[in-house]
Amino acid sequence: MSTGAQHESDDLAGEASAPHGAALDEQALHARLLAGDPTAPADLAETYLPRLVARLGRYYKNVDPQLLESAAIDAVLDLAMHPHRYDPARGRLESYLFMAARRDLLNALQRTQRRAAHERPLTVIDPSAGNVELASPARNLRASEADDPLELLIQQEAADPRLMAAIREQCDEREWAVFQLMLDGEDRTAAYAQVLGITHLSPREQAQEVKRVKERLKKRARRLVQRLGVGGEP
Amino acid sequence: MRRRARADRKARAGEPSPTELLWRAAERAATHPFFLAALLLPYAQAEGLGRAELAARLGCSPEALPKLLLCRQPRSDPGAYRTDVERIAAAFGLEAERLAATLRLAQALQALRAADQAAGQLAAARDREPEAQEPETGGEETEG
Repeated sequence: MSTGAQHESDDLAGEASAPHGAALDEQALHARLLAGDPTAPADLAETYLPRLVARLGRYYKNVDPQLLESAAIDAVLDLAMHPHRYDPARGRLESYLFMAARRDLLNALQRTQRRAAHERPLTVIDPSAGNVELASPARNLRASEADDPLELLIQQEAADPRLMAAIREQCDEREWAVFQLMLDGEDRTAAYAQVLGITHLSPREQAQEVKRVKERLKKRARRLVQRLGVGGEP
Repeated sequence: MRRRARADRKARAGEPSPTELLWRAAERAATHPFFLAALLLPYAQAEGLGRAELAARLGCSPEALPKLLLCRQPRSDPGAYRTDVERIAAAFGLEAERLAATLRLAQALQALRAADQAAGQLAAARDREPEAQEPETGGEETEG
């Protein structure tokens, strides 16, 4: 169900989020699922499904929205039926759902790519150079999002954990936790401020500091993508 | 202001509303016997009920229906069944008796369908049997 990278990610996401309202709510919801409360699956879907679809949509901008929805729905229904598969000690429920949906989505995209490779004819792009290209949606996705190293990381993490390991090596604990939040699609400044331990600053100062750290991490990621030669054109 | 801008972006992008998203989840949940959707959506289809009519029959608003369908089916042992039905009814502001009656109808329909299906399979198997035995019979006749 989960990868090593997921556990690592969830560990940090969990550490990053000291018990607060949302975390306590999700613990309570998970407990209800485990206890067989008949209304808990409905609450799970209502709370997490729209967020999950929105989050996936932010990362996979050029993917068929139906595929995104389908991955999100499957992740939520699966957790409702098998709540024991989620371990709260490993991280946030939302992170778990996101990782599960992302894994399903990547699998679906790989299936699409394989099918396309079998079914679609090769298209000659530059006959003089003898270049050919497959008209594959998955390839289109990668090419169109290749300018953002973070998007690339999301796409390629499962296939190339080297990159994640390299980034991990170059980050201290707080930066790594911030990076995990970025990968999870977290967009609340408060979540980053908590991880960075800067909640005592004014909201404006928090926003500035969060932005600064995120930019630094993006630059670092971009350099590593280039150095390791991953995430570029296949 | 920021929230409104986000809503505008969503509308432009053609994203489904949360209710529509729950409907899609409920339709997917109908393939899993774990969920109420697996019981109530085939029932609605058999009875020719649309979304609003099913909601009316259960006594809930059409907006609340997809969420209701995403509830777990009541557990089968009698004590737990009663408790689960009451819990669902309380959460959605429904009359427990009315919900229980609709669920009983849906379950009866499901059982009938399962019986029909089993009978159909049995009949099909019977139809195939003589064909399967023909070569054997023919062999005996040749020998005799």
